[in-house]
Amino acid sequence: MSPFWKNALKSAAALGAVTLLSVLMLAFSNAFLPKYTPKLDAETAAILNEMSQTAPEGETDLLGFFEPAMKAAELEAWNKANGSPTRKVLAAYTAVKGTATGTLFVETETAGYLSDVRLIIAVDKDGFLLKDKPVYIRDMPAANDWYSGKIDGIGSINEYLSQADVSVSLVNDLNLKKRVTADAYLKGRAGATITTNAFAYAIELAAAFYKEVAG
Amino acid sequence: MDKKSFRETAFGGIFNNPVFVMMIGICPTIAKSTNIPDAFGLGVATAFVLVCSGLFISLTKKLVPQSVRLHAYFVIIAAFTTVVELFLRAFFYDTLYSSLGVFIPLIAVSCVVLARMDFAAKNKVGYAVLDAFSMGVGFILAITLMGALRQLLSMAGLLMLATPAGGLILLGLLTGLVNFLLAQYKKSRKGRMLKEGTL
Repeated sequence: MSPFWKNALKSAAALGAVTLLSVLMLAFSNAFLPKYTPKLDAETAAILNEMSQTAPEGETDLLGFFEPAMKAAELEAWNKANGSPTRKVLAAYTAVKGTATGTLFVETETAGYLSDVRLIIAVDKDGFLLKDKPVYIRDMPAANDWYSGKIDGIGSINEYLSQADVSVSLVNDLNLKKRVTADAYLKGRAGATITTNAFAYAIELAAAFYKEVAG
Repeated sequence: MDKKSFRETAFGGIFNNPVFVMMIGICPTIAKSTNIPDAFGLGVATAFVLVCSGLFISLTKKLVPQSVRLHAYFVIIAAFTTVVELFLRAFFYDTLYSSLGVFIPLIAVSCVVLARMDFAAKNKVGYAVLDAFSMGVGFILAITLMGALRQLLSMAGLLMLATPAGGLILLGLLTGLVNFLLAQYKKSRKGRMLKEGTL
C-alpha cells in the first residue's frame, strides 16, 4: 500500500474513532440527563384557576389542580415544526382536578406591534375556547397597543372574543376563518395593528397545540 | 513536571489571562457579562469544555495524525459543548439555558477553547489539564469581574455599562488596570529575585 493511502486510511480511522467516541458520549448524555419539564409556580396556577375556576372557592393550594402538558424538549420540537421565531408556545398546562378537568392552557408568545405579546389561551377538553375567560394577557408591553380601550363597542379582549364568536370548535379549523373576520373587523374599526394579529396567531397556535395534545 | 513549569502553567490563567492579557474570548465576555449569574455560568460552561477537551485531546494526541488534528479538535470540542448544552437544558432551563441562548453552542468556536487545544496536543495529560483548568479559572474570574462591575454600576445608575459599547469601554479600562498591576508585580518580583540572587 502506498504511503498516501496508508496515511489517508490512518486519518480516516482516527477521525472515525474520535467521532464514534463523541457520539457515544452524546448518546449517553442524551439518554441519562433528565428532560426538563416547565415548572408550574403558584402565580401561574392562580391565573389558570382564575380562567377556568376549576378549584372550589376558597381553595388555597392550587398547584395540585394543574400539571405541565408537555416536556420542554418536546415543546421545543413542536415549536420547531409548527411555530416560528415570532410565534411560539412557551408552556402548556392541563387542569387535572376540579370542575374544568381536561382544560388545556397554552402560553404563547407572538410578535406584537412594539414587542412580544404573551398570552395564556384556555381550550376546554372538547376543543372549544373557554366561554368566560379564554385569554389571559400575561405580558403586553404597551397597554395602548390594544385598541379596545379606545373604541366603543369592542371592550376587553375577552369580551371582544366572545363578540367575534370564536367559541367554535378549534378542532375543525374554524378559528382561522374567524381570525380573518375578527382581524378585518378590528382593522376596520381601529386601523391595522400587528397586535391584533398577535392575538389571532396566539389562538391559532393554541388550536394547533390542542390538536397535537388531543391526538 | 518541574516546579517552575508547574507554577507557570498553574498561574497561566492569571499572568496570561485569556481576556485581559491575551485578548481572546472578547465576544462572549462583552455579550454575556451584564450580570453576575450569566457571566459566571458562561465562564463555568467554557471552563468545563476547556478542561474536558484538553484532557481528551491530550489523551488521543498520539492516535490522531497531524493532517486531521484540527478536524478532530472541532469534533471533540463540539461534543463537549453539546454535553454542556444538554446539561443546562436539563437543570437550568429557565435560567442559564434561556439567558445564555446562542452563546452556549458558540463555546465550540470560542477562541479561549481553541487557543489552548494546541497546547493540549503538544503536552502531557497532566500539563494539558492543568493549563486548561488554569485558563478556565482565569476566564471565569475575568468574565465574572466584568459581570459584577457592569451589574453593580448599572444598578448605581450608569446604565450605559449594560450596553455593548459600555462593556467595551469597561473591558478596555480593566485591561489597562490588570496589565498595569501585572507589570508592577513582575517588576517587584524581578527586583526581589535580583536582590536575593535567584534570577
